[in-house]
Amino acid sequence: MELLKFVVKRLLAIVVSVACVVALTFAMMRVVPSDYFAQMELRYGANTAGKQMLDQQREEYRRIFHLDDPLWKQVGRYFVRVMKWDFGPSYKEPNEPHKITELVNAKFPVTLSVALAGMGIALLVGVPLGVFAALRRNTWVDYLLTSASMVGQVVPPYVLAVLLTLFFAVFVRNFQIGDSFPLAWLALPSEGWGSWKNAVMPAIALGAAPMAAVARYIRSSVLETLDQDFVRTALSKGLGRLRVVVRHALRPSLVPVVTVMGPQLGYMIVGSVLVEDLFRLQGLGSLFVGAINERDVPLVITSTFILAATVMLVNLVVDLLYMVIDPRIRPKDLG
Amino acid sequence: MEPEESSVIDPLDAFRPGSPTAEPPPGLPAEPPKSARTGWRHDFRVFRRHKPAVAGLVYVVLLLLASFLGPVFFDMDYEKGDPLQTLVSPCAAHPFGTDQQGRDILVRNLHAARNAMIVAVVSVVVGLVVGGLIGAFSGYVGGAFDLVVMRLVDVMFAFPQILLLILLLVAIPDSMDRRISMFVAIGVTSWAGYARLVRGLVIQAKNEDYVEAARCLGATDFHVIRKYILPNIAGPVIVAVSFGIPSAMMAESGMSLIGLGLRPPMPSWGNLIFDGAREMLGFPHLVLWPSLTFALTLLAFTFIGDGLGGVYGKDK
Amino acid sequence: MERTNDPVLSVRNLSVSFADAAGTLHAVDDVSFDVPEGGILGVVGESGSGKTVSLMSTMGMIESSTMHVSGSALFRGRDLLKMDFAERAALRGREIGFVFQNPLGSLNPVMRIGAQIAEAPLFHGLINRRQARDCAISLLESVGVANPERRLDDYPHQFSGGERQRVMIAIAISCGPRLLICDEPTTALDVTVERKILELLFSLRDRRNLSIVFITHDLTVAMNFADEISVMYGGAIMERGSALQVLSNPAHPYTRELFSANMEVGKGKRRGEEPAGTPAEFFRGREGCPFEPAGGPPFVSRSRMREVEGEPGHWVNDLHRYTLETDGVVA
Repeated sequence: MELLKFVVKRLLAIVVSVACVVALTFAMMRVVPSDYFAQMELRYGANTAGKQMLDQQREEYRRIFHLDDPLWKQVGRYFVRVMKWDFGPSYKEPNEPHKITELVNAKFPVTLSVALAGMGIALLVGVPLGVFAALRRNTWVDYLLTSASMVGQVVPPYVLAVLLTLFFAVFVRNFQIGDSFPLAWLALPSEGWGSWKNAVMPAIALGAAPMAAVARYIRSSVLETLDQDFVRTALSKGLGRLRVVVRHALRPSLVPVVTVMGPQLGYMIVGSVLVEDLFRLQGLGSLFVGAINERDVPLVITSTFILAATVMLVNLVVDLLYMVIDPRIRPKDLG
Repeated sequence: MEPEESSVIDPLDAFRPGSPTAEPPPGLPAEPPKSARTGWRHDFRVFRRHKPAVAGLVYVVLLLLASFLGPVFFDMDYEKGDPLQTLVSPCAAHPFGTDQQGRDILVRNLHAARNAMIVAVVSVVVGLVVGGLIGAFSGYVGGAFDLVVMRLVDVMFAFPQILLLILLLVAIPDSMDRRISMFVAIGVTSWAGYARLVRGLVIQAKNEDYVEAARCLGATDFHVIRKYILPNIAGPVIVAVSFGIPSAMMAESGMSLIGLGLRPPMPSWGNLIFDGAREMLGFPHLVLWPSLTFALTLLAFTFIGDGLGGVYGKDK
Repeated sequence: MERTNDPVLSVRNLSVSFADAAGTLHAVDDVSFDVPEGGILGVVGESGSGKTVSLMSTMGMIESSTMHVSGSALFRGRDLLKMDFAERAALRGREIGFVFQNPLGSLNPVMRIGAQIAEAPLFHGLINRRQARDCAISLLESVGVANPERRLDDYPHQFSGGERQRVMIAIAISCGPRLLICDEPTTALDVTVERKILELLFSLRDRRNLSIVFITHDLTVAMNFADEISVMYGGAIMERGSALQVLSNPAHPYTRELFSANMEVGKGKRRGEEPAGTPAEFFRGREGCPFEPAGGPPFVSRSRMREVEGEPGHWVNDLHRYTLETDGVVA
């Protein structure tokens, strides 16, 4: 019951925040100096025929997109449509009434799966690394892992991807692993959302920062947990060292990791905006950047909406996960 | 963990979305401002002990000299290409090679470094001045103003920063130098973090016992701010700024990567990397050197930040 | 009560030291004691007297690369100090159970109580997964937690302080051990709860034929509860004997001081005379009786045990008489 109240409250807060984000986006897209029609003008040319076509188009767009309505009405109408999961047509294809919905449905899974794969890599590698560093505290292994995680945390994913790809490419060439090691996995794909293999490098590059964060947090948190009395109890039961760490010390140590995971996963989803074009992934990020460059206002608004809402929902899910991992945490602790 | 530790305001909070607005912890031990107690000589000695920070500082100084003094002594036109020397691999004449239009990568790389540092420093100053003044005023005055400001800060943190940056950059007229657009956009997206940090520090400093004592002795507001509050908040703010610079650099290169930052032919690490990545496996030098320089610069600034963190009591 | 003469645990000449860059820290020096079969040994001393270290080091509960242990600790005829980690781990939980001071901190906060109780018997292969639940229920029942079926799926923070300590005891006895080591099990509890926990330990001793080592700083509790008493100070034993012997004829001035401290605190008065030095001072290698004032004659060891005349089994640390001749210790 308490939990239900918490979830409802948070969902309401998310709705309000997302509404703010969408309204702000609407407002900003209105003041954009070079809008869609300005760009069209460049394309049609300044002759009479071009002007006529442009005026005709502008008239049509006014009708389809209700451009003359006041801002609040536009935002309100948008939300009514969101309820039905219908985002309407885009500027580019005004005659396909469900174009944006189709685009979102097709591209959102790409972005989400790359982000989740990255987070999966981050956890699968970061957690053992962190535990290992904690158990080998102040040895060269520890120092190496700590510095590596520093690099992972500081260097942005696109730079990391480039450097890793180059490294592997040189490595592969020099050591004659040749064809058995498919270079295509590492190279930036030439075209399209080919196969899952194309997601390997982006996922690694996107996962590096959270992996580093996870490893650092796990390390310090395992060290702290190992000092606690219940670890002594576990030892008093006769459990082996590894079992004590894995069964008893690890789970309480995960709590601070979950705290960093929410923002990190959010960052990975929004960060898709930066990396998808580079990797030629057909996800929400490249959709957003394309829409921005073409000043396709409905598409910009919807991709902003989806990205912002996803980030906030991810944070809610992570908070719920928090309560699963640590039963002492109750909804009221999370505010 | 000792209670004192949790009461220290973390300068990195300025970059953390969603962390709670720092409230002054009750009953902090009265302690004179740090700079009054030690002075910069001592600070520098502490900083020098942090070896990576010293290495970072040396690297940054070298990069600054090369990118700002280089054009004074050498011909470093980033636009001029030699059509006979396209896609040259690194050699004596072009240590980093040349690109498709025969432009020297080293020159472009240094210009990219210069642009990145100009954008980062100015936009951090913009963000700090705007956010710092708002935060300081909010913390010092309190009341309804404080409440409104803090709600605004929360809204800023709810909006994914990259998206806001992109929307702002689209909204700013194209006619301006893109570097100026970047100052404005990064400043606007980062002020909230500084406001939150400075506000927390001001409230904490305001409530110190020795500040109250000074007040009882009849010190004016101006005197209290200059003598007690400024020295006390300087340390964490310096640390926050030193971490703000690499994150502003990342914002600049990220925006240039997707075509919203600096416009070609003006070089930025973002567009150098984007252009170079297309020919990456054929001509690795196009992307390798800019990527490496950029990564090292980010690391260098972060190390400096860590070193400063050690100086100003955020040593872990 | 008639008991066999073979002690469950027999510690002889145990010394524990920690050597680091700052020097050698002699935590325990030449300590010997027995835990009688089915009996209760009370180890009394203030914090830092080495009472916990002397027990935990023999059980492999202290993992430190700087620790050095010598002497012997025979548990049912086998020397614990000659075992490796795995051999001692096989005894811990299985034949030797532990109850600690801080019941909340000693329970894993993110694991259900039932799982924590059944963990040791599962691990030692005494039960299988299907039996785990029933096993946990019957254990909870036997330590007096109401509604065990329902409480099984609760977490430690949902229990009261006394109940948590009962859970700890259930964990300690889950494999039917021969020896229970209780390290200040009632220190963190209210007086009324303390009483009930002590009664529980008593009844478990009788029902399960347990031997118990009861580590405490409270001499009165030890006197009421234990059959045998060892009084420790500064890493050495000052006096040991049956509870009756120590109570009726305390032979060492420190024991007498403990008695009078206990009594006079009740009257609201504080005794003026404090022990000669802080325990830590002696750890750093000062030799001689820890309880003697500074400047006494140096001795190689901190203990020289002498049996009190006419009282077999009542031993007193004899070093002390060299510095307190007028005190009448030497009977």
